[in-house]
Amino acid sequence: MRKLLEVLQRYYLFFLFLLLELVGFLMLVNFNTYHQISYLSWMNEYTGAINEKYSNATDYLNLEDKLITLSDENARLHMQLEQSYLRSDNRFNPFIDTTYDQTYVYRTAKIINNEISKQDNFLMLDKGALSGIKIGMGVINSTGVIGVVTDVSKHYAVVMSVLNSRFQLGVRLQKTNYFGILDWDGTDPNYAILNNIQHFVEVSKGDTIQTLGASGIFPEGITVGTVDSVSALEESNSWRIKTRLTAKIQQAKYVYVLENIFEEEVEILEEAKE
Amino acid sequence: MTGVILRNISRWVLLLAIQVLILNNIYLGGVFNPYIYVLIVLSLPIETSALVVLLVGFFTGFTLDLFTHTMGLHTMAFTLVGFLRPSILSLIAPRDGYEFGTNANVRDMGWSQYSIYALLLLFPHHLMLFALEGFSTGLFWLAVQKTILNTILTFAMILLAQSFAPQKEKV
Repeated sequence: MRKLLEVLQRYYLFFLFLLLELVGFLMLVNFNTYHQISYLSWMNEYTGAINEKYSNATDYLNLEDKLITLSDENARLHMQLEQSYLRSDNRFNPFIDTTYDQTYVYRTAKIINNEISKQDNFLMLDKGALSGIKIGMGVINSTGVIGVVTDVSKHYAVVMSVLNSRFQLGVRLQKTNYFGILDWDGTDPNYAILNNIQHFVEVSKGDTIQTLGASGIFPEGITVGTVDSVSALEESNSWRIKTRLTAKIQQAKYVYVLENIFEEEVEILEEAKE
Repeated sequence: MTGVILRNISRWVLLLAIQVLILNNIYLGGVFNPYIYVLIVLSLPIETSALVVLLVGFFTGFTLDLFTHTMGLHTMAFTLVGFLRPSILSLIAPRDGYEFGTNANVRDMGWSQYSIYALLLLFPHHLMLFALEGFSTGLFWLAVQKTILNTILTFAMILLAQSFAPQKEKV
């Protein structure tokens, strides 16, 4: 201990120098967008590899849960196959798409790092730019909406979770089609708050809330949650709807990353509008 | 003593003002951007304690970052200068050490001494600054080129500035 103190006393200037440089570095990667992004994608390559090893090791422990989720998913997919539909008038009705074209491409990925305890939570996926994942793509799984890709390196991607104070999702009430914005208040990972639904709209407990699909990130009509409780806001004429999220983000392991093939087209139109 | 502190503070204000208001608006050919504010630490009295020099480096860099919206960039580069200066001064010190009251300038140290002193501090400062600005291994050679060009330019400006500086009578 005394040796340690002596070393500290002798080289205190050097340690102070290192400390000040560290402060400078933290400022550099926190307050400058360019530096922040390069730093994050550089770190992803390393932390991602470590997280992946850890995740591989723990995968076996909850294999059974995964199996159940996957077979549920399989069942749902089987239901969508041609043989699952009734042929009427010798005409098969393909399922809903106004252009009758494939709109969304699904890519599977595995969550290798998951956080739910912070104010701004992020997930990490084991696939990145080389697998075709780009910034801005939506992420879902069989239970509901998980988040949006915010950062991509070669082999990994960072996803802003629904459980993030900056996350906002356009949703609508299935029954009445009125739409609002869903965001997270940073408290309970099972609940989010739906705003902007006006007082004249009838909302009751248990109503289903679905994605609006207006931004083209998520397809229309994916179930997000159910209404848990409704309270009136004093200062505005809209409800504050506490929503129980159907997605179990904490337990999620395998997800789908959605690519909207018409994204560019939508963007061009959006820009022309302004 | 008070006079010395006052002179250093006014130099600090003046040089930062020149840096922020004039020099940072100059981008000759996209690569020339002289950093005369380095003179703030270079011209501190030789007797200044190493701790004070280090802290002056840190806070000056931080202040400049506030003005240029490049948080941390100048802070890191200038803290390095503050840390290196005492070692480099003792490295090039005359055999009997510096006479008390010697100023860190061309007149008191002599051309060759001062050039070594200034260049040994300017080079690491500029290298760190441009390397961090690029922040990528792919841009490192560009950073080295900019470092060499700008070290020469800044050095020339420092010599020029000193020929304008008020000559103080030695006590």
